[in-house]
Amino acid sequence: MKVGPLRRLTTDGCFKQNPCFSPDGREIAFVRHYDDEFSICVMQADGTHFRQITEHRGDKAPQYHPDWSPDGKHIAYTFFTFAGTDGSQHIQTMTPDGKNVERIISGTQFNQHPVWSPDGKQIAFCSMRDGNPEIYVADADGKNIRRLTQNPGLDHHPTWSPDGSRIAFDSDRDGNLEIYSMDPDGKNVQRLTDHPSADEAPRWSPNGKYIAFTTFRDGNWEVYVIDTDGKNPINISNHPAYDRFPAWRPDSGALVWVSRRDNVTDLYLAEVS
Amino acid sequence: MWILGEERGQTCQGVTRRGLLQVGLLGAMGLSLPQLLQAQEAGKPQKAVILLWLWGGPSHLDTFDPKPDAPSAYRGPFRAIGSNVPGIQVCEYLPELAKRADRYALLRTIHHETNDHGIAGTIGLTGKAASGGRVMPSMGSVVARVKGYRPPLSSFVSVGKPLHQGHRPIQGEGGGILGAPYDPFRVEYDEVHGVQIRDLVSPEELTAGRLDRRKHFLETLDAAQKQLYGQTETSALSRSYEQAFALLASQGAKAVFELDKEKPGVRDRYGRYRFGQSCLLARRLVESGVPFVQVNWSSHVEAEEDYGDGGWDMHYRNFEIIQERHLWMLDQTLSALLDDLQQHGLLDHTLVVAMGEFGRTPKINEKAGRDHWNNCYSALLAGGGVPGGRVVGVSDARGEFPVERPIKPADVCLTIFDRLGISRTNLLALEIAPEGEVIEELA
Repeated sequence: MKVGPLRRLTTDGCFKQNPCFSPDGREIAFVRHYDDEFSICVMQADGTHFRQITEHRGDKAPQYHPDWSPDGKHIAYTFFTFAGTDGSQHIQTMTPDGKNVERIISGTQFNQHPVWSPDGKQIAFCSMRDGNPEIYVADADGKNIRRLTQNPGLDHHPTWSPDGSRIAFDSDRDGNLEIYSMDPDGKNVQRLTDHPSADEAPRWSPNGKYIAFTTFRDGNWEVYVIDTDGKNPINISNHPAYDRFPAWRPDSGALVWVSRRDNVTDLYLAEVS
Repeated sequence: MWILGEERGQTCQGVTRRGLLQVGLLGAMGLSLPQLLQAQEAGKPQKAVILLWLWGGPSHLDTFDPKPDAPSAYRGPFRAIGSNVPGIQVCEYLPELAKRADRYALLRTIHHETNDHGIAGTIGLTGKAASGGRVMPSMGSVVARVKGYRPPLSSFVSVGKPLHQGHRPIQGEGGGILGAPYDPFRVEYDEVHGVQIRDLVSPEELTAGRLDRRKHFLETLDAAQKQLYGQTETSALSRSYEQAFALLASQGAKAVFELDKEKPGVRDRYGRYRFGQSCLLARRLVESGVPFVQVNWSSHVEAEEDYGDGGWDMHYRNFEIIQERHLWMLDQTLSALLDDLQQHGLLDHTLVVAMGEFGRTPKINEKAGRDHWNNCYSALLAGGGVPGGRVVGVSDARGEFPVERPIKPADVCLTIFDRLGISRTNLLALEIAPEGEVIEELA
């Protein structure tokens, strides 16, 4: 895989995480921390026309983990509500203008990392509703929740293969965070990475050939890409600074991620081929 | 930790006969304690402390006391890495601090009796829990009392919003029994508004005439209060205002708060987020002669509080949250602070302390979190003459309890005072009876 020159898309330096492309590749949604708010923002894929889409809330409840629906009409995200000094995380959807908010998955505990299935009919997510973090799938309206993983370890960050036949995720079930994949019913779990340092937050490429993820295997956070069987790891970010949260452009021809290579936190994009 | 004169006659932890004699001698010489200390310190480098208060209680296993050989239900998903000192390991997500282990000492066996944030915070900041309505002064307040007010800057500056437990401010962050005049002079930083001083409106809004009128009003108010209540001590209101007024009147002092006077690269190295720039401000304050600066990581304990920019209280999602934010921020900023203090020639006489009110349960809970753990936790101390590359205290194989050299928060407090040149005698002069012992391994 060849990595093209890096383009810096944002310059405000605010803390950011969780970028994702719109299905037409024209826009990027991401999370930004600014003026005491963790909000979801959208900009064009060249970094212009920035706007915050989640409303300015009085309680400034953090909102993160956006994922664009395949038809482009909705964004699923995680919404935090406070309860004393504790709280809960819910999964909500909204239209890309930040309106028509609907809470689709709730509960007294933590529901996070929502990702739409390629046909838009289901949402995979991470939840602690039965105890420790596990991967679940629900219908797109939040109903019919099914548990996919059953493990005392941490299971996080699901991502669908483009044909919907597999779900990759990260887990520390074997001692430290590694990338795994499984069938959409939770069966046939396959371990894809094996390194003493953390490998996490996988993102399946839209062409189905690769999985991008974040790893600390070089002693700092880097963005890597592997084949879907875990082979041929390639360091995409290759910089001593913090590089995390990769996301594929829908044509699989570019990755966007968060980097601190200029000492502040911004979004960067590299063409890959 | 501090008890005002109620235990005279005791000889172990209380005020000694010798201490009382020394107090009497000061008075006979006609010197106040601050005057005496200033006379002693004349011509010597200013000793100072920067206390980085990691509110909420960081996990000791996931920072400075990793347990790579513990079962995974305790160890967690993070690795331990070696440092530049053979035998000292820290969490893998503190790589820059690992390169600087020769500059700091780690205490790995601090413990106390409570797992309540507010009480533990009070113990950590004062050395002792409040009892019978008596709240002991925080370390910074003791320093402010002992060193005296040195216009135009206070002797105790706190960078960050007041420490809260829920909606309540905790008891131990201020003057306690010494009185509100020894509360911290508070400044805050955020990315949008920069440095803010609570007791002031912005200089643009405050004309000289208006300033004089406010000062006159407050002087009148203060005089009326004294008449009414027979107060002889300066009120908290007037002390706070006096300090703010002195700041405004002093161009030099105001410049301390102008972070944009720093080179952009320096600001970047500290990190352009609240904790990073707060630590840069702490260095500038120490450089300007402030002997005690406390930097609060957050105002509230939970990560989601403070609008998602909160503390280290990770009952759930511990690993995800501290990996995404807390650990790299601490690693970058604390490393930058140590480097910067060294480059400015300040590290030898500035003690940097990073600690919270307790650690976290070695056993991971079912929500991928760690709960409160007061039975064993860690602190980092650097500079101020503290020998680097040293670990004091050994915790057990799971990080649950001390097995060698248990340390109390009162010991840490007394060690900090010792580094500032504040002795038991100085404290006794204030009718404060210290508990604990100076940690000899750090002498």
